[in-house]
Formats: sequence, C-alpha cells, structure tokens
Amino acid sequence: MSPRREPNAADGVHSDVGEEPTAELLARIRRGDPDAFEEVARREAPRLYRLALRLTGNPADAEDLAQETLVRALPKLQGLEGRAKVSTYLVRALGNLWKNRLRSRSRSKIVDWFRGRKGDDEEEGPTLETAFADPGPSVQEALEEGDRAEAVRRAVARLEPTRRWTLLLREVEELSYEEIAEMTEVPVGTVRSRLARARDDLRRLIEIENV
Amino acid sequence: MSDRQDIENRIQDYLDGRMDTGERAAFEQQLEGDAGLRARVRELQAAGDALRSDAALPAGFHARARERFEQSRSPRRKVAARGFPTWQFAGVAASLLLVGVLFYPQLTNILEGNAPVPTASEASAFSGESAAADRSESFADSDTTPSDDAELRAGEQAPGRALEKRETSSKPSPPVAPEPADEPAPTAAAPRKRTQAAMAEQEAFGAKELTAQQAGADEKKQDAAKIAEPRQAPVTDGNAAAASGAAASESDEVTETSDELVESLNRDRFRNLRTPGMASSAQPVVTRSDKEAEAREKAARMNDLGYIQGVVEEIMGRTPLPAGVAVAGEVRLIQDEETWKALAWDDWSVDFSTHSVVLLGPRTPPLDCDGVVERLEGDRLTLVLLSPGDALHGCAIEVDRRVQHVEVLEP
Repeated sequence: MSPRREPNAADGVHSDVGEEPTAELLARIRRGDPDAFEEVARREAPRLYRLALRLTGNPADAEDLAQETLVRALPKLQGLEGRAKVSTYLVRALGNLWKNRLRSRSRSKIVDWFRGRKGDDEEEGPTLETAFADPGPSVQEALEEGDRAEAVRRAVARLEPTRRWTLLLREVEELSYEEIAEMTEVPVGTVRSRLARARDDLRRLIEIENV
Repeated sequence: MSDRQDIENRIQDYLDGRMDTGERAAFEQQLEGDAGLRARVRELQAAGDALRSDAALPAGFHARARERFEQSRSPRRKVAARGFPTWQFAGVAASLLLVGVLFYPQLTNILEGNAPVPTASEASAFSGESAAADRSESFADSDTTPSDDAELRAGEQAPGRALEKRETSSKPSPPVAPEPADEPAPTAAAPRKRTQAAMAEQEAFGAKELTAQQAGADEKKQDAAKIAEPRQAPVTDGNAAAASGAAASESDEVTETSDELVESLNRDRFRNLRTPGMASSAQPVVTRSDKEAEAREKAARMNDLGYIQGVVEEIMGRTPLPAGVAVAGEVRLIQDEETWKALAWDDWSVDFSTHSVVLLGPRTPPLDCDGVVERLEGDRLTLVLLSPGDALHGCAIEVDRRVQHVEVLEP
C-alpha cells in the first residue's frame, strides 16, 4: 500500500497533455475561429468533462457544463503562459459556472421540497435522496448492481457542494492543499477540514446505503 | 484531540502525501498490524481511484461544443442579444394596438353605420374640415354638453373613458374640478373652445337637430362605455370599499402573517409530525404526533449523515461551522451577510434584507438540525429538536426576517 501517487499518464490524469495553446491560437479563438477553438477544446475537454461528471453525477449536465466552460472561458483566455495555468483557469471557470448553477438550482429544488412535491416522496417525508436528489439511480441501486465505483461516484454527487468541490479538486485534479486553498479562496486549514469531512461523509453515505 | 480524530488526520495526511518519510514509514507499519485501519485506507483509496477513472466523452461532444462556440460568436446573435430590433418591433406593435384601442369606438360606429350623419348646416358650420374631423367635433361637442357632464365626471374614474377623452383633447384630462353651475365642464382647453363653438352652433340649430345629434352622441357614449367597461377601475365607492377591506385585513395582519408563517414552516416538511386531522390554518402550534417515532428514526438516519433538516424557509446546506459555535439554547441568529460569509460558504445566497440565518451548532451537546416549530409568538421562534444524535457539522436554517429571537429546546 502506498500513499497518493504523483499524477502520471497511467492514472489517466493529465494524460491528454499536449502542446501549450499558443498566444496565436488563443488570439484566433478570441476572433471567433472555430477551428482554433476545437483544437484547444479537444485537449482540454476530457479532463473538464470528467470533473464535471463527478460534480454533477449526470452525463448530460456534465457535457453541458464542460461545453459551457469551454465556450465561455476560452475566448477570454489571453496572456496566460503554460498549460498548467490554462488548465487551472478552466477548472476554476468550470467550478464557478457549476456553483452559479447550483446556487439557483438548489434554492428552487429545496424550496420545492418544502413547498410540496407530488408523489410518494412527499408522503414518506423528506429523505436524503429527496432532499439532494440527483437524476439517475440511487446509491443503493448502484450497489445492488455491484458497481462500487459507480456507487462512489454517485455518493460524491450527493456530498455537500463545498466539500464535493474540494474533494474533487484533490482527488480528480490532484491539486495540492495550497492550490486548492488558492482556488477556493480559503485557508489551507479549511481545505484540510473540508477534505476530512468530505471523506468521512463519503464513507458514511456509502455505508448507510449498504446496511 | 480524540484518538479517532487523530487517526483520521493521519489517514488523510497519508493519502494526500503530506507525511514525511519517517511518519509514512511509521504509519505503514501501523497499517500492517491493524486490519481495520488498513481497510479504511483501502476504502478511501478505492474511492479516489473511482473518481479519477477516465470518463469517456459522449459521442459528438466536440461537434456540439463547436456548434455552441459558433453560435456564441454569431454576429446575428449579438444583434439579437442587444434586442434592438425586437424592441423596435414591439414598440410599433404596441403603438398600433394603442391606436386601435383608442379609435375602436369610432371605428365600430363607422363600420356599423351608426356614425351621425352631419346635417347640411353642420357641414357648413364645419366647412373645410374633413368628415372624420367633423365626426370628432360632433363627438366632442356632445361629450361636453351640460346634460352629459355628470356622466363625464363619472367617466373620469374610468381609465378607458379617460383615454377616450384624451384622444379628443390631445392632452391628459385633469382631475375633475368643481365647475361653475352655468358652464359645462370641459376637461381641457381645446375641448372648451370647441364646446363653446358647438354651443353657439347648437343654439342656432333647431331643437330637432340638436336632439338628433345628442341621441347619436349618447349612442356613441354607450358604445364607448361598453368598450371601456372591462378596463374600468373600481369607482370611488368601490375603491373605498376595497380600501376598507384592505384596512380590515391589515388590522388582522399580525395574526394572519403569524399563522401563515407557522403554516409555511410546517407545511410538507413536517406533515408526518402533525396530529391527524389537525386544522392547519386554525392551529399555529405544531404538536408532535404519533408518527414522531417514525420521524425520529428517519431523522436520526439523516442526521447521522449530518445532513440538514430545515424548518423554516430554506436550509443552507450542511455548513462547516466552527465546532461548538452553538448549543441548545444558544443558537446564533445571523442577520448580516458578512458574518454569514465568514462562517459559511458564501455561495449560499441568502437575502439578508428579508431573511436571517439560524445557526445550529454541532455536538456539545449532540445537536442536530432536525426539529419542529414548537411555536411562534411575535418575533420569537421556538424550535424543538428531534432525535439528537451525532450531528456532524451543524446546519443553518433560513428564517423570515421577522424572527428576532430563536430558542431551541431539546426534546
């Protein structure tokens, strides 16, 4: 058993590293060149989509989020040097877009929950699933299918948003505590506590459905 | 720090590579001798691996992304986004609609053949004017005859008819003011001029012609009233009645809003906690019902996860509150945004102009966020917690701004 590995191609992390988007390429994107856009999008989309999928737990939402990130963020890219900064910029943009969506969505969703949803859930009273419902089968259903990895991913999609984002920045993007702290604009200690709670919640989320 | 917390911290440091060589070696040695710890670490590593596994892009992803990019850069879309053509068209359409509404009575009369036919003397009196202008003058004249004055005053209360008057006077009608007894009540300078001229003309006309003219005008006014009727505002008496009703309802506002708030607090969310058959609107105090045990069990399950059960307007999500920030009886009411942001994730948008946030803290004593509204008395809200358990991180509850004091009782 070993602790966390450094990112490498074998993990499927950063395996899509290619040439840096040149200033000329970025300028073409800003001018509206679809070929330039697609060239950069093809490099960045896989990791953005994966992150979006873990965040949303839903392929359709993930595609929409990843595409919106690319469409909105790439034309604003200028003066960035190095792929690391480009990817960080896109991850940050994706996170902001997601949080904006979540903010409006969760408000309406939770209010709907309180104000009366039709169906069996209402009669049963609110449950974890109804309160934080995401499309698709529940964790329990996923476990019944014997797909633990899928259960983990669905459990993650039910984590409290702040912790979910922090956990994914660490586990998927493999950012350091310091990088996460910079991106989320919180102290490193907060990153640490959020990660601890996220992992604890994740374990409980899976266990409780497994009983 | 408890042993459990210490071990969790070490697991995390190990997983995240934040141990130095010596610490890592010591921890790995501990792992070898502790199957439970080893399973725990493996479980978390497996979870991480599951999250890092590749996710294949959906077929057609790039084509759709390119299409969205092209659409976003389309000049036509930019123009549409500014909305100028749309608004221009809407303005023209609105103008046409307004003109149509204003002229509808006249158009109706013309189409139905009810327009008064000017007599030869009228024609001579208004020589040089078109037939349409002639009809307008005739309409204006008849509107301002003394016999119609009272009706016009009443008509001033009706927006539809006021609009009609504006059309003839080409400027807004002023409020009706007391008029000299011997003079008609023109509503504007232009009609006044025309009225005086018309009166002179009418005096010159024979009584028969005058009667016929007024009859035609009365018919038009009736038609106009029919047109305007749906848009009529309540007449003064009606307004008074409405105002009276509003005042009456206002006098009950405190009682009603209190009832409404309590009702909203408990609607749906705590349905299964109510006494069966309890009239929801008549009884603002929620009592715990026979189903409480079931709710407790469910809540305990929920709270074991640390998820929040909101009680008022909205739950904020499980918030990473500082441990021990609040205990039963010492809840914290946050009423400003900055404090809230300092304590919790600011992405939960709370409108602090209308709402406050009640923070219910974690542990010490075990305190969870599942509760019922015991009562609301004035600005004091009392919650009774259910199923105190191992709440992890506390929670926040959004409450109406009228709530100024919150008391939390343990069951």
